[in-house]
Parts: sequence; C-alpha cells; structure tokens
Amino acid sequence: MTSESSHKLSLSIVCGGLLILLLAGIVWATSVGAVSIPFSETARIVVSRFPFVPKDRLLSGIPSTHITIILRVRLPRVLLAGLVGAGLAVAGVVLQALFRNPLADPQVLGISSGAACGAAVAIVSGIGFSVAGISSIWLCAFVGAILTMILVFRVARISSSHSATSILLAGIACSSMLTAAITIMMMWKREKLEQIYLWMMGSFSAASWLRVGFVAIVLVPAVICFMVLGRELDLISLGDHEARSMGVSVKNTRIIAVVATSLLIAASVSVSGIIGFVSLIIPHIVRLLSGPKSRRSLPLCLLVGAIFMIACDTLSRSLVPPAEIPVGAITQVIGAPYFLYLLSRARKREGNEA
Amino acid sequence: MNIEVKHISYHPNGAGRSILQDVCANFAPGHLTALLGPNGSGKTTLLRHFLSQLQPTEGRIEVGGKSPQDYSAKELAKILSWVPQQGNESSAFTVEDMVSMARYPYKKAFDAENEEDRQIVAQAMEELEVAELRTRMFSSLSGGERQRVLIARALAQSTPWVLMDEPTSNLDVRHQIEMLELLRQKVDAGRISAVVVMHDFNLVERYCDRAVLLQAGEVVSKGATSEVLVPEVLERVYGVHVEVLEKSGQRFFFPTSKGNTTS
Repeated sequence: MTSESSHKLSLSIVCGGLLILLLAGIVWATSVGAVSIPFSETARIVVSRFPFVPKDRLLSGIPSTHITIILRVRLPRVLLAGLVGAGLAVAGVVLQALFRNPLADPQVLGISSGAACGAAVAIVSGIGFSVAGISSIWLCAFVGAILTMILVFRVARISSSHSATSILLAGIACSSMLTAAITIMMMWKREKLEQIYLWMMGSFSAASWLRVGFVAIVLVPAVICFMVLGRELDLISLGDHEARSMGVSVKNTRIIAVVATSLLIAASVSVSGIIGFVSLIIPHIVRLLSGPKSRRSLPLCLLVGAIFMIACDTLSRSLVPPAEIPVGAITQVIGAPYFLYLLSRARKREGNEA
Repeated sequence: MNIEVKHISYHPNGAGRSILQDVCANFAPGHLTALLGPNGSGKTTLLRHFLSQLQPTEGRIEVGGKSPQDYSAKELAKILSWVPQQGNESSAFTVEDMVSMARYPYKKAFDAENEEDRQIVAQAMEELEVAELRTRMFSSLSGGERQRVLIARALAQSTPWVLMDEPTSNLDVRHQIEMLELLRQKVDAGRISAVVVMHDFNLVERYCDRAVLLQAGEVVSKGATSEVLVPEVLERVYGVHVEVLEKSGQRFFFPTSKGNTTS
C-alpha cells in the first residue's frame, strides 16, 4: 500500500519535471532558427499569448518582425511537432496493448502508407486547391489514412477473437500494396518524385495554427478515452479470453480504442508525413520507467513523445541551414540505434536472470 | 446457482466435424467436478461455452437460468472465474498486479482499490504461496509459479463458480496436492463450486466428488466420481490398460499402455 502511494508520488514528480522540461523546450525550440531571437524575448512573446497577462508591457522593445516570426512561423511549428509526437507515442502504447505485439505501430497497420498514398494522389493529380487553409495534400492524406484503416479492419474482422494477428497481417499486406502504388505514381510523374518523397519522410514545415488546432481536437478526446479505458487495455494485453473472463467487454473496448487510435494516427500523419519509430520506441522507453500499466505509461508517453519530437524537429531545421533534414530521418537515426541498445540490454538482463 | 448444459452441439463455421455433440450435463453447486477425457475430446471447448467465449451451434447453456450471453461481461465475471491453461507468458505485469486485476468486475472506471480488495488479493496470494513473488514480473516466473498466480487470480475474483483448465499440469507434487486440498476445503465450506479439467485419475478419485467423462465431443458418463472412474470405461475411452489396486478403502489407478500389460 505504501509502495503504491510512493509510486504514485514519484510518477507525479516525474510528470511535473517533464512538463517543465516540455515548456522550456517549447520556448527554446521557438528561439532557435535562421533569425536568432534571444530566449528571454521568445519567452516574453510566448507568454504574451496567455490570457490575463499585461501584453503590451511584455512586448515593449521587441521588433515586430520577431513577434511575427515567432507567432506565425515558429510557435505553430513547434506546437505541431509536440502534438504529433505526443499523439504518435500514445497511439503506440494503445496499439501495442490491443494487439499484444511490441512491434505494432502505425506503419505496420498500414495507416501511414494510406496517408502517404492519399498525399501522393493529391500531388500527382495536381489538384492544388486549398479551402480555408486546408490543402488538398493534407485532406487527401487524412482521407487515405481513414480509408486504409477501414479496409484493414474490414478484411481482418475487427471484432473476431483472432483479430490481433490478422489485423497486423492485413495491415502489412495493405501497406506493401500502397507503397507499390506510390512507387508507380512516382515513376509515372517523375517531376513530382522529390515532392512525394519528401512528404513521405515527414516534415513540419507546412505547420499552421489550423493544423495545430486540428491535431489538438483529435488528441485531447483520444487521450481521455485511453485513460478511461486504461484498465481494459491492461486486461486485453493479457489476451481477449482472459480479459473477457474478468469482465471486460472486449469487443466494445477494442472498437472504441481502435477507432480513436486510427483517427489520432490519421490526423497526426496527415499534417506531418510519415515519422517512423516514435510510436514504437517512446512507449518502450517509457515503460522502463512507468511499468506496464496503461494509466501510468500514457501520461508519460504524452510528455516524452512531445519533447522528443520537438527536439528532432529543431535538429531537422537547424543542423544544415537553410536546408532541412526530413524529421522522419532524424527520428529514425536517433531512434533505431537507441532501440537496438535497449534490446541488447534487455537480452543481457534476461541472460543474467536465467 | 446451477450451470445447465442442454443438448449442445458445436461445429465451428457450421461445417466439418463437430467438436461437441449433444452434450447434456448439470453442474450443481457445492461440488468439485472433474472434467475428464482424452486430448481433443472437447473439455476446454465446453468450458469456453460457459464463459460465453463460444456459442453453441445447437442447444442451450444456462448459468443460473440465463444464457451466458444474456449477462453483461462484468455480471458474468462475478459468477464465473476462469483459470486458463496458460496465461500470456510475455506479460510484464507483476504478480500483485495480475492478481489485483481480478477485482476489475467490481470497479467503476476510476474506482481505486479499497481495503477489501487488498485483503482479498493478499489472501489469495497467501493461499497459493505466491505472496513472496508479488513484485516479480509474471514473465519471469516458472510455469508452475505462473499457474499458481492464475489460480490465485481466479480466487481473488470472488465468484461462486471457478472453472479451471488443467490447473495442475505444471505444478509439482506438493503444490498439486495442496491446491486441490485448498479447493476441496473451499467447496466443502460452501464458498465455491468448481469444474476442473484433470488427467490424473488418482487425484480425481481423491479430491473430486463428481466427474463428467467426454470422448470425441460426447458425454460417455457422468455422476459420482466412483461411477465414472470405471476401469473398463477408461480403457475404452483412453485406449490404455487400467489396473486398479485397493488399499485401505481407496482405489489407486495404474494406467499402462495397451499390449504392455504388467501382471
């Protein structure tokens, strides 16, 4: 009992620390860029957007170009990176529990490829419309992700008890089919090859407040839903039959969780492209700290995912200015070796125990 | 609360061979019932019908007069608990977390564990001697330890009925005997009734008062243990030679392979 409450205490201390780190990270990332704007100035501009603060006093003496750069360009980009990072990490936790597979992630489910295929169709067909700030690529990517998700789940019969493996297999099959379709489109319209390829590697360069709002509107209810379903997810991670015998309505829980996760992934991927490894690696790292309970790992994943993605995006735009390295490449370059290190450490530990 | 099996048949996908064929049985409370039969005879399939994991193709199952499907998942979990043959071996939950999960049907979404839950969980862990393992990860346990954790979890679910699928298969001799004695004691005290899939005739003879014998999806015999454990019937069903010795009023079974009779 005492151990449980001290666990809770240490979890909230860790969360508090990460929250402070996240806020500092947002301000720091916003101050970094081609035009260097001092940290204190950035902090004042960011804080000036909060309600109930003396706006004029905070902003006095700051050039208006700086204010524009921060508020119109950098802040939405940093926030979008944070939201997408948080969303992908949280989605990873839920997918890994639902499918009882430590490798389940948006790419394996085919949702990422669906988004990429939608984006490629928009790019190749040249329908370059933009309604109320929503570009055709963004819209088509979102629709592509949703359609793929529906296809995968129809094929795998979401509610059947064998769904865990068959959804993954259906996802892998759809994913390779869509990737092939993208390749054909790239070969067909070679002049669009680079644009499609760069979209697929992921980037936050098209960030806008609209995109920030869109991801936030999906992320907040999804996270609330996952927290409410925390116990059910834990039980389902043991097996559908076991969960059912302990009173979980497995079918309903699965449907709600899968739909919420898919919407979250579709929203995240449609605004940023495919950013690999975040859904896979952040949950694994966080569980080393939090243990396997969803209600403990979800809040930590939310924060760590956001911090990690903001850091990667900042690297992507500041390593070789004025060029940008696709953020998906950075997450993989950092993520994959660290994941290998974790795996080898886990192996060693197992070896010692046996 | 009775569990009644009324003429159920089960053919998966409506085709092929039937796994259960016109099975009838009545499981009355207050008994420790053994479910016997060779591998593939339909024992697990029958139990899974009780738990509403499978629906009969024909016939009807009633738990307390209602089909298991007519209960909500939580309601059914307050009546039946289940010990699977093996749990998820890769589960990273600790033993205490695993056993605590049994309290799920009694909780609303954000209810915390209360003193009663903690006592029930602690008692179940004591009874199965897994209390010292409470902080160990389930995946790091041996097969027998895992099985004891799963049994403790079923008991912590505080249900009138406990269904067990080969609960003794990984246990050492002492734990087999102690587990069955614990079960017998709880049944005699009127706390639980149990249906247990078992293979060892001697353990069945010693601890179970009722038995149902299945072969190829059909009930061969059912009733008091002594009426079901008939050497001639067992020989026919299992395809072995069964010798019985009696010592101080108790029967001991010695199955040997056919054609390899010892005399």
